[in-house]
Amino acid sequence: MAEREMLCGKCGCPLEPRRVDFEYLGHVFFADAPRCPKCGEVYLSEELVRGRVAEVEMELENK
Amino acid sequence: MASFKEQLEALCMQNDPPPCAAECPFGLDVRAFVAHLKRGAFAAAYRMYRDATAFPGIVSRVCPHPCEGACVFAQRNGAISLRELERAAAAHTPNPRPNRYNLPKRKERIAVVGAGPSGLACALRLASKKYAVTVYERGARRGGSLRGLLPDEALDAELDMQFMHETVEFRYETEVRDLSELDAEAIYLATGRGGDAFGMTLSGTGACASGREGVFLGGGLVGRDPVAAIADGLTAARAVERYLKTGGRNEPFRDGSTRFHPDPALLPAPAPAVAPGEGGYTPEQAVAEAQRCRECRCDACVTYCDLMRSNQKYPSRLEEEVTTTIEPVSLSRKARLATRLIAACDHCGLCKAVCPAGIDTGAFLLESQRKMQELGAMPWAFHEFWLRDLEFANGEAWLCLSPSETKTPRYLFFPGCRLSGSSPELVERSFDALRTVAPDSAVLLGCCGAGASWAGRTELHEAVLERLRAAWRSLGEPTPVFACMSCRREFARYLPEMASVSLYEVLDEGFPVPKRGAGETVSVFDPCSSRDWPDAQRAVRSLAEKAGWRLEPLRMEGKYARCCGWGGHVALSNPGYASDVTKSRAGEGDAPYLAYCANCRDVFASAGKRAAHILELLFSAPDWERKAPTASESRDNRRALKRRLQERFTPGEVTPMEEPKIRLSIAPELLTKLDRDHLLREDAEAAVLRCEESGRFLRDPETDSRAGHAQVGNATVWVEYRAAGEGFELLNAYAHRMRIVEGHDNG
Repeated sequence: MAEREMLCGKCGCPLEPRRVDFEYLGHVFFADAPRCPKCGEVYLSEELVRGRVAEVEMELENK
Repeated sequence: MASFKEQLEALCMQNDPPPCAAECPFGLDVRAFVAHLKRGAFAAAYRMYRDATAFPGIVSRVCPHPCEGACVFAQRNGAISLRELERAAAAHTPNPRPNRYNLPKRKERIAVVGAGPSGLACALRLASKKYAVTVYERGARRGGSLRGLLPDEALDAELDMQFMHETVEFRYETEVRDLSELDAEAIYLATGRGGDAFGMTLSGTGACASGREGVFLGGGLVGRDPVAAIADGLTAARAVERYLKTGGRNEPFRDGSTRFHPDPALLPAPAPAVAPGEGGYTPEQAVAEAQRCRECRCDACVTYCDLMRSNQKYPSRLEEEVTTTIEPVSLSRKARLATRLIAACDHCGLCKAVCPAGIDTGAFLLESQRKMQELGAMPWAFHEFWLRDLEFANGEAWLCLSPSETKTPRYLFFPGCRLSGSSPELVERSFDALRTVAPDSAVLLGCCGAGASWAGRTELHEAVLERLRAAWRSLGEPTPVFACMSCRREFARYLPEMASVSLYEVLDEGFPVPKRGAGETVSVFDPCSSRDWPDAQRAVRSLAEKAGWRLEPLRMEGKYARCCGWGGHVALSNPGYASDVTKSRAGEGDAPYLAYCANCRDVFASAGKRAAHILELLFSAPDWERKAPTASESRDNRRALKRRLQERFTPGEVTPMEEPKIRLSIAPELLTKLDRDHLLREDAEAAVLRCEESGRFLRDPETDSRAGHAQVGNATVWVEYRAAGEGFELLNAYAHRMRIVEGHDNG
């Protein structure tokens, strides 16, 4: 599935890969994900959530 | 109370030998010996047998084989014939000769007094370790009490062969009169029955030890028969070696006891014993006889508990891993390796039911859950979905209602949240039926607290129990009537002041059952929570038969009922495992399952197994293929049930319906997808609402659809939707557990 071209609903800007911080079970980490360069709104696609995100969650739960 | 570890140390029989090995004078590892024979490895079997007995050619002929009397099949198609198997190992090994070991000579000298079975065994074993051994024998030849038990040629041939690589000085026709004559660091007295003990007796401080340093005694001298004398000689060799190396005289006594006695009822009947020909078993016959052996070990837990079986871990191993997970040996969180394992227990109680020592590994895992929660070390995602359901059941869906005039109803019907969510109409019909038996019955819609208990959330669990207790007291302490056996088990465990009964017992006694079936065959699937309630199990069978169904028993039912896969809410932490358990249960019977737990029925329905609830048989035509409700539908059903009961019995107190804050239409297939991810319709509504209210969303310029996320509980829910009519249409939804740290733009 090709990455969808999303625009920020508030600012109207195209999203750009930028750093996003995450927290789970006391672990804090970051990764690049599509984000509005102005307001910072994030987009995580279903593909990403079911793939890499789920993997990382599983790893942290097993620690 | 003893810790679980102490309980295991005191009671677990995992390492106890089977009765055959316990009875063996040599403590032969019978299971390993037989396992070699099963695969036709005669050389390996023989080597093992020779190491254990020193003189396989003698022992296999003269041993009385107490192992056979102890065999679990002794009274059932015949004991495994170890005598013949031992002979076959010796007969069919490609090379019966002993191994030659090239070890350095040891300088210590050992004197063995007596060349009978015990002295010979001791001498052979020590000589093979290259000690300087001298055997003093009063007579002119070796053999002692073995002479006459087997032909001289056979005896001499075996002795010659076993001693062929060893250097032992035999001094025949040499009578030892005083031990001071012997120039040796250690002495073994094996002068036989009635022989000279030189004033020595067994001191009891260690195997074969006398009261004098360096002097050991055993065999016929201390009353052993010839076979036990050989075993004594081998023990004495160990005792002598320990003494020479450490100066100690404390060689452990052989513990020939076992607490483990296999239950023949749990073992399939063996094939009939294989009869040997004149020359003993042929190799094929020996393999066939070995294959009758079940290699008994105490392994009911790891055989029947899904968690222990799938992880191949005995309770002792679980205990170690769980304990180091709760109290990691390192300061790093990395040591919490068994977190998911702890959450994988379905709390069915089968481990305790099948354990001959009654060890309750499930209780240990539940206690471990509590400790992990206290430490904040259990991932929230392993339980949150069901804890939110508990909140709903005891919040929006809670109802305590007593329709009759009396302030003290006789019965309090507690249908349980799962049945109310799956078949609200059956709850209503059951309540009506109960009221025909006892018109003053009341009803309580709520959750028993199992989810909080399974999650190890002690405080929340206490609060649920307190609320249930208060409701019960406010009605004058009626007898709770349970449709769900899990609720009943939870009440019995945590609210023991309430004497309860199952709905099925009440209906079986007082309700006229319409006959709807025509003798079709079904299997009653006892929920694991019914294990301790045989009266309820009988009542369900009686109701089903009265209703016209023929019952086909399942192998594991009644006391040994197994979990359907739902217990412990394991699907959240271990989805693949829970689904495997359900599939395995569904395959245990060919006939459709008749459940009396709504969870069992629903998980089987979801796995494609034909299943119905017993109440369907009583109150309607059962639909064996009815789909399980989604979690969202379950909530709707419970809301509707509450309203319906209020409308019927307390029309003035009907809770007004809450209007959803947003109109969101969801296609049925999408709702099913949400359900698989443990997402509710209201979670999607909350996310769309958050996007629309905050104006924070993303827009796909091609389709004009929107996407965004919201925190619902601890989860992050993503929605894709578009405007439709006066509201919105959901296009997709998914969720993740990690939280996006908002308002932090490192651009």
